[in-house]
Amino acid sequence: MTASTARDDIPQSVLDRAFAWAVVLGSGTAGPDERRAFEAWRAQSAQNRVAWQRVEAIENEFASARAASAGGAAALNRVAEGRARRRRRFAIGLRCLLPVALIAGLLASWLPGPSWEADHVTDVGERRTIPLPSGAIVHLNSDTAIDIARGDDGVTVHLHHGEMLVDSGRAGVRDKPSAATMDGRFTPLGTRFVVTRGEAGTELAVIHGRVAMAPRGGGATVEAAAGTHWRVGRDGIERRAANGLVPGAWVDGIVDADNARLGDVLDALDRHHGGLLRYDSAIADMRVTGLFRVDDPQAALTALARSLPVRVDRTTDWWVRVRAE
Amino acid sequence: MLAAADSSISALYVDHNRWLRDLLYRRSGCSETAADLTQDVFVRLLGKPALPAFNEPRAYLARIAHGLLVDHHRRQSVERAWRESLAADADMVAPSAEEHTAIVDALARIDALLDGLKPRIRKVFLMSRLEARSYPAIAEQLGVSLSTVEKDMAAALRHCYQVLLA
Repeated sequence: MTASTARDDIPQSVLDRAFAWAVVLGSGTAGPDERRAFEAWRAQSAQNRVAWQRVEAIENEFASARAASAGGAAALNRVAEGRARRRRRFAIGLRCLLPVALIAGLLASWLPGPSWEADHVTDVGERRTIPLPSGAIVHLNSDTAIDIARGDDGVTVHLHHGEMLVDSGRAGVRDKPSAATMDGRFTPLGTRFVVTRGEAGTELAVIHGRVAMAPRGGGATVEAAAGTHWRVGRDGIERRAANGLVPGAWVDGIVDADNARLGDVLDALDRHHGGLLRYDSAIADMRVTGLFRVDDPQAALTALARSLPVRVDRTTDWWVRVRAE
Repeated sequence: MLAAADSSISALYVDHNRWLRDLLYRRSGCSETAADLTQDVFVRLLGKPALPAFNEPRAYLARIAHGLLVDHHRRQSVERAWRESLAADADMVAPSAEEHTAIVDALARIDALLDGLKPRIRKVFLMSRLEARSYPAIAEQLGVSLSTVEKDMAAALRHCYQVLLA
């Protein structure tokens, strides 16, 4: 399935970041600190800037009305209330139409949707397990979108963005699902591996067995052994040093760090945090060992602040900064 | 297949303008509105670079007309509510006719944009972006937590994005 084009120009995760910035900057309580961090985020990549332009287009819709009318919000609330009242009044009449609506809904769900309506999507903070008929299991980390396609060469799980752990488990050799991203294709010769797709390309960590990596742009296939980490991008395949984080530990709801960089631990926690979690570059290289629960990033941050010379500034749960003490 | 736009529009007009006006009259109950919206339908067609070839021109025209009628009703109810706002607040200076039109246009656009949002999310978003209130003030007035306000704001932005740019 090659549905991933048009709307994929800006990944959902980047858009969500832009929305989060709009939430923070429009809070009425944002100061120069937030402003600076926002400018740094915007300067980071062209994608960030495009995402932000789109958010600004939305905000502009409201700016003119805000300038012109003091009673605008009240008027719009009355309109919505009137509409809700009418809807209640007609609710009985609508019941006869329900079968029609149901059929229309079914039809809509059969039609091939745009790519961002992936087969399986998790929100920030949500994790999910998807069993495949072959007995294999795909685990989705927070903020992840996949499609599952069945073709002549077996089942392929397309990762649009986010992170997944593919566990072939009891599936027979022929039934082991492959993984694919924009950057390459990953065919398991073994059983358990993690694929992550972010702004910088695709990363692979093999837990058990071996995985054959074929870059999308062509080039030789490389076999990855258990315990190794790789990056696959448009420019090719590159071996990575282990970063001290146990790959796929999030399946058990934890970040498992063994002498890992604090920056990597915070990035892993950030994936599960709905708002904005920022940290000063000065603290990124501190070393961390420990277990942190992904379901409660705030508690994990508190634990980090207890054991390291860092301070956690929470303006709200949505806007958190970690800095040197 | 694309038809040459101009000649096919005049053909559509000759064949169906009367029928379309009757249809809009039945739906709106107002002959003036029906005449205006009929014109608008054809004006809208003129703005298109090319027309799709269709087997059912009346179904096509009716679909455009329906969209315009929905906009028309929305604009009317927004305008009524906005006049009530004006009447209720003695401090508000009545705007000029031009300003009035611009305000009602902007509010109707926003109303369409927020259509389908849950009532609380809609309220939170309007308090923030139209009334320029801070999140702590909104949280206090609605009796919800600060992080609920933040989540609602993010949900509303996501919704607007889908409507505007998806």
